[in-house]
Amino acid sequence: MGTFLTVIIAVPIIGYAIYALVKSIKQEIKGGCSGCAGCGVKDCSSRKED
Amino acid sequence: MSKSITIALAGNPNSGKTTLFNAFTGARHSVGNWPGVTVEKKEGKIQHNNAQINIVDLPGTYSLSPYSLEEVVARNYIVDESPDVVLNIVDASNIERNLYLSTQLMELGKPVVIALNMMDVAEKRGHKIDCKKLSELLGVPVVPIVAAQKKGIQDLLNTIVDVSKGKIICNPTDVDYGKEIEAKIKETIEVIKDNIYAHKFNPRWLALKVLEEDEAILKTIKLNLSKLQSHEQIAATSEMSLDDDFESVIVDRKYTHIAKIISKAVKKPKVFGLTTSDKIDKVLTNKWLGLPIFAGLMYIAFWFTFSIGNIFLDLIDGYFGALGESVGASLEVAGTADWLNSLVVDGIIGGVGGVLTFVPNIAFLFIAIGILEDSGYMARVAFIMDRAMRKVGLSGKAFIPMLVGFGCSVPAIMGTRTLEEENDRLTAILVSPFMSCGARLPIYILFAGVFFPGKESTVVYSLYMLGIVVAILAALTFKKTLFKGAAVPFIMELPPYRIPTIKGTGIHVWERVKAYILKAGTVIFSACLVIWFILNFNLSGMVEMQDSIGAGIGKVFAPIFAPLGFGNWQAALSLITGLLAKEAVVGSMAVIYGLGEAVGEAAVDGDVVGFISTLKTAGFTQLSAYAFMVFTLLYTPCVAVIGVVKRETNSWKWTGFSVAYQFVVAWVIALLVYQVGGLLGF
Repeated sequence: MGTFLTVIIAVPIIGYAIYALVKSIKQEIKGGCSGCAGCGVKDCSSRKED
Repeated sequence: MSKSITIALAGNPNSGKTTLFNAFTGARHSVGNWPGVTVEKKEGKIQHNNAQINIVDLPGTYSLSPYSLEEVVARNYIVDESPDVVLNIVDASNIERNLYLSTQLMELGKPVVIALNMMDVAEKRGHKIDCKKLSELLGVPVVPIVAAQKKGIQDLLNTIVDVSKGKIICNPTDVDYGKEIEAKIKETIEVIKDNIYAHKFNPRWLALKVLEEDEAILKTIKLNLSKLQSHEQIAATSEMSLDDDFESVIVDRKYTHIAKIISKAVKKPKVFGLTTSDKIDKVLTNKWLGLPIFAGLMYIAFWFTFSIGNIFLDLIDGYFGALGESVGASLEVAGTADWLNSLVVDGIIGGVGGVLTFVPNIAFLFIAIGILEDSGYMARVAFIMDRAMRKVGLSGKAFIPMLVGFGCSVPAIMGTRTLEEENDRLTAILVSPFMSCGARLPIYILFAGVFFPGKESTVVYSLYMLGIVVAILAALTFKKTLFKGAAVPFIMELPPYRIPTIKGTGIHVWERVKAYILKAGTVIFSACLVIWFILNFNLSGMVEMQDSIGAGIGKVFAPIFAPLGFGNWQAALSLITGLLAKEAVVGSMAVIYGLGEAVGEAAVDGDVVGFISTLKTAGFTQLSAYAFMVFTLLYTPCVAVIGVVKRETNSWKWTGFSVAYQFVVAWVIALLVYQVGGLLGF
């Protein structure tokens, strides 16, 4: 049971961490910031709103 | 559905372009009561009467002469992309100066619609504007609006659609440049009419630019300047009997043209005495009082950040502590693996929670800065700082992007595009990261809170001021060595003081807070997991932290920081992670020192004993903690900033230099703080 729960909890956490990391690296390659600081630069590829 | 219409939104800085853009699109882009909010064009789409309208908001410019990048961006867009309509937003309360750009836009030969904004302000000042008459005299439609209240927006959109469909014809009145120049314009048109590169330009405007010897235009139409000057017909400047240089005469004739129009369409009351804004400026921008008042207001901003922010910080502290404890207990009961318990409690709740704890302080700092911006005071700071900046060879205009750096260095560096001189721009790019960005604030709050209880605002205030001083000294060094040259004159329109609105300030604050939380949930989350992993594992599996990969990396770099008072591997590793994002420094410390646990203890005990003991065990003293904060203030910025330095300088050499010299400056100043502080007995 413990092992099963470990896998159930660990997989999404690690999966999300890898996703967030890869996404931020991609943003950098596209010329955006790895984590949008909300600077207001409108043509930045990190921005998705509007 | 009919074809889409593209409109370019052009106007003077601070004329309300972004406000109108937001009113059109429903967007919530930052609006600033100071020039330079928009340095890049931005785009939005709306539907109106079955027509799709693409709106491109261009940077604010006073003219279309290519003296700065923003003017080049605006001019190139209108010429190259040929929008269906150029929507020129004009500040009705400052109509003469705004119409100068209008005359230039009309000369470009594209259909122009004028949105006469801030009619409410003009009316309050007693200005009576006959829009119909103005429209007749200019030869283009003029629509009165109040963008901030969304008044007149529908009429404006109807007019734009009608102009684009040809229902309303624009027939702009030409500026009369006088017999001699008009003759030259005609001759020049004849000379350049067969130029294959000239087809996209309005012939009259192009002829004027050729006569002005506009280098960018001459380059575009592949006309050599020396060849041009030897050309009898269009060598304008040498043979004409003008009172002034050609360009000045053109400007003068434009203003004469505008004055004639204004005299017929606008009635203003005679002004006696000073306006309220003028009276406030007498004090706030006073030669002697200006700087002390700025320093005082900044101190109040930090006092506000800490005294109010800390109330909420304590609540969130306690929440994450309790959350860590209960989640840890639940996982233990569920029988999950020890490493997962550690990952969730120390890595995620400790790390990410450690960063999120400071959200209230971030919010309150940006409430304070937002109020100063929206009131119009920040524009005055550039004016106040002009004297100091001029001494280092820069103008006060260079201080505007530096002020933006209080939020984030990325837009600060982008904002240097408003500087005309390339050397000034490069200097500003290199010194802007010394201004303390919002991401560094959590580091100060943590250390100041632990080592300087009760004096947090003074300590953090001293760091922000140190950042300004170092930036100015670095600029001075660059201007005396690498980028010699005199400061260019600084002319800036001071916007009227306005009472900040809850909505306007709220947007500023929400953008920052949302970005901070999103960053904590993405990059910082990943970083905390990586940090947790390298702090708990080595090649042989899960180990004690002392033997982990992270400790190994930290130990390699720790000796570099030993003379600065924090030569432990934990501090070294935290600083390395700060290169990803400055918030990661606190996240790393939270994981390394188990601050999550300490927070929990603090919540239970009602004090911060846990914090102090964990950091003190790591060898930090009051002095080394201050040196650490000084180092984090000044050292190499995060990868996002390094990336934008590369983009804006387009040079690996300057990017590499920026990274290296900031590290050296930080190291030297932190060393001085620690060593001199030690000698003085701190």
